[in-house]
Amino acid sequence: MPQFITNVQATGDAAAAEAAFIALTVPAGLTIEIVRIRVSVQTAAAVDSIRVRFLRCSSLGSGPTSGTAVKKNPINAASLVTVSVKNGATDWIPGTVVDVLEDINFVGRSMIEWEAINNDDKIIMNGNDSSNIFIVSTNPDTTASLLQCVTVEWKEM
Amino acid sequence: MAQYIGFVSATSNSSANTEDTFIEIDLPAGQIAKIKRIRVSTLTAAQDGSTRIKLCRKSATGAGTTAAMTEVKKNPLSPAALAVGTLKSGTNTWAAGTITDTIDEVQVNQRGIWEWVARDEDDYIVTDSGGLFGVNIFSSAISIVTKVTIEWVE
Repeated sequence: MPQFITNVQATGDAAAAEAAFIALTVPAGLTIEIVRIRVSVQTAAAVDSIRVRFLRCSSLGSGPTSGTAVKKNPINAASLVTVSVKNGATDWIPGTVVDVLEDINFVGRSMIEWEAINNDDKIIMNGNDSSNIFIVSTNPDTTASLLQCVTVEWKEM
Repeated sequence: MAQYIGFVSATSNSSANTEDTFIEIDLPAGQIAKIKRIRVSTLTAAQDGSTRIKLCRKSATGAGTTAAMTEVKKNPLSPAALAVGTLKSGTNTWAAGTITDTIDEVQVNQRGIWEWVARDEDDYIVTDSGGLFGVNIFSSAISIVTKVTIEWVE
């Protein structure tokens, strides 16, 4: 199956405020399988505890800009998913949350990388569901405007 | 398929947070490579800075003084690699080149290590036919000795 990747580097919102960094909006008729998510911190020597959530949402929230779905194999067709990414320092609060798929913290000198270990472990998003928007959000506990980098990879069926 | 590995240990720029190419592979016309593993680690001891890693397809390499890679066969019975590998040479600068696709970006604390391994065949990073693939590095501190490894199949 064709696999795609998108990435953003942007600054967090206020300290202890949840900010969405990447959203994938799946159109009707399409199912996608999310296989990898990574959050890392560019600001050096950050000591924050950074909370990360993977969310199924029914609305996007306001503030993002358009992102790019890069093909892992350049001969594949273009992605059908609409990618939205955090627009620099512009606030972006996630829209209406339907399911919280993961909620984890890590220290700012490290990173988190989630990878589906098998087919059952993939996060499935169905464009026919009302909650057809997948969002990765972060929430550093003490530092405003923390520069972070988020990656999401998925397959389209 | 035949698998190959190349690696470099070189010094980041003398100005912080500027982009340098550390390793590239260049495919001949009609040939692709599938990238399977990339690793970045820091040789300079006790650093607490951040290394930003960019994986990219390029249409042209950047200017700079470079060194040739020795493409090592994982299986000595395999034919020689068709890809031509190029490495950052010590402290010499090597510009980013012309990037067509930024495939991934990640930061890692310099006391840690980052390794990406393709989880299955769909996850391989495939080069353009006859294309150029590179790993570019920014360091938050100057002159950090950084090691980069790349593995691919042809």
